[in-house]
Amino acid sequence: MKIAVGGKGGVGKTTISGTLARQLARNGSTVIALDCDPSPNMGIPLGLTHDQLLGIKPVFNFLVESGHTHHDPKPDPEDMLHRLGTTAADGVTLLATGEVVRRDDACMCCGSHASTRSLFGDLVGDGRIIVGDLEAGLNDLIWAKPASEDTLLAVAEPSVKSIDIARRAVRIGQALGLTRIYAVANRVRSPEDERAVADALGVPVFVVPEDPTLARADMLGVAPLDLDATSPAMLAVAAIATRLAESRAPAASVA
Amino acid sequence: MRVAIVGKGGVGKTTIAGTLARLLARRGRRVLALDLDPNPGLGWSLGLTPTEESVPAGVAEHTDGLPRPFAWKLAPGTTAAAELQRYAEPAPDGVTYLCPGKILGASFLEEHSLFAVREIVRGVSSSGWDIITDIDAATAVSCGRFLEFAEKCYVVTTPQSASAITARRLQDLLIAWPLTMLASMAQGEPDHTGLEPAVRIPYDESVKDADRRGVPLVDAFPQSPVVAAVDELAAQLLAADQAAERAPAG
Repeated sequence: MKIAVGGKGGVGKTTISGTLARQLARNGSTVIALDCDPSPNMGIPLGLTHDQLLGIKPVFNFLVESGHTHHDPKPDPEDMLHRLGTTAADGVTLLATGEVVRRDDACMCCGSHASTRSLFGDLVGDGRIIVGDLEAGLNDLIWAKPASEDTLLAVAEPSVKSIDIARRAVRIGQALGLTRIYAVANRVRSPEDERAVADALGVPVFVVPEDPTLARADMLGVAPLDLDATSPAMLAVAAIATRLAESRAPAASVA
Repeated sequence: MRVAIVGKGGVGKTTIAGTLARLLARRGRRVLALDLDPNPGLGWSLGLTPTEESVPAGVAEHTDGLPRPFAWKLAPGTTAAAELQRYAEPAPDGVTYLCPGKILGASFLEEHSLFAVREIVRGVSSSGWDIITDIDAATAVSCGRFLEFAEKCYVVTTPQSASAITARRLQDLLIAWPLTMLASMAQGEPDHTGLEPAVRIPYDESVKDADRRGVPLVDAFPQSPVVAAVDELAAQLLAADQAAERAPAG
């Protein structure tokens, strides 16, 4: 099973995807957390310390340092996972696709970065769950190219800008033939907030309420799940994990 | 003045860029608000209703034989000023808004649109425009090669640790530009970015309210302390600009 998590920058993708990965692992699944952000931070909700976070070697950077060029064949994703995966909280394996550390690395359209940006598609999802925390915006969703059996979570908060991007993420998912597309309405404070997301996106919506625990965890640089696993937002993400695990066999529908 | 605003997603780049563009225009400046985010939001922060149009193919042409990023030039017979006039949109307070376009379906924003805008900006950058640029979140840096016109970058941070980590990474990455920090949603002491904020922009719920409605902060909440802080930034930029103009003469 593969779950791609996309949306506008700052809507909470990393917190939700990292926490979701841990909750899925707590429920007994083998989980790989794939951090696709060129400024990778998924280690934070996965409970890594600051030093551990900065010690992660992303696939792209490993390849550059070992002299690999984009003319060489694509690396074997299982080998990369074995070499570069970091064990995080609850037994989740974290793999980062690539951190932009030089101006020349940062090519949005071509170059060797592309080979790592398709890791979400290349890793096999059988018998394990891959949770991909995508880069802000829609580019990475196109790179990741989820297959029709994959799950897409389009995260939005109650703002016109983030809802517009989530709406276009849903459209991309539909164009790719995905049937398991959900919206996550994050930082919801009222039924109106939830409706704003639901009406615009037209797919089943998971609601994650506004929760001061998250801001507190952010300030401290710790995983919100470790700060308070029973806070409203953490319970909401736990419910998403349960729902997604239930829906693995049949096509999903959220009542 | 030609500035770019960078930082982690959700830190307030677009709100700051849109408000700054409007306030500079009110001070009588000729402002070009440039949206280099393939998921553009600056239009909303300026007070426009975004369109689905992109700068079409043919404005810039690809010349074979040159390395890819340098191979794009404006098509013969066109001028940057004329193309700016054609593809920019007028925004409130006399701001001129230019955006290459947006991702609409399961395909990337066309390269030709991005490079057309780069060439237009390159062509007009020395003709008296104040250029305020908003960039996409994490790949801010992917735009490194679109930022050569900028004289300085502002990196926006919030008290959250992830935004400070991104800011530190951007410091390493954007070494070619003078980098200034803007503290956004500031509530307490600044975090450990190694940069002293030029302006501290306070946390204000009215920003969220304006975002909810998709309207410019400067219209919905002109009294917001965020507007006042961005106006202070505008004043700093103008003072620096005037000092720079005086310098060569003196």
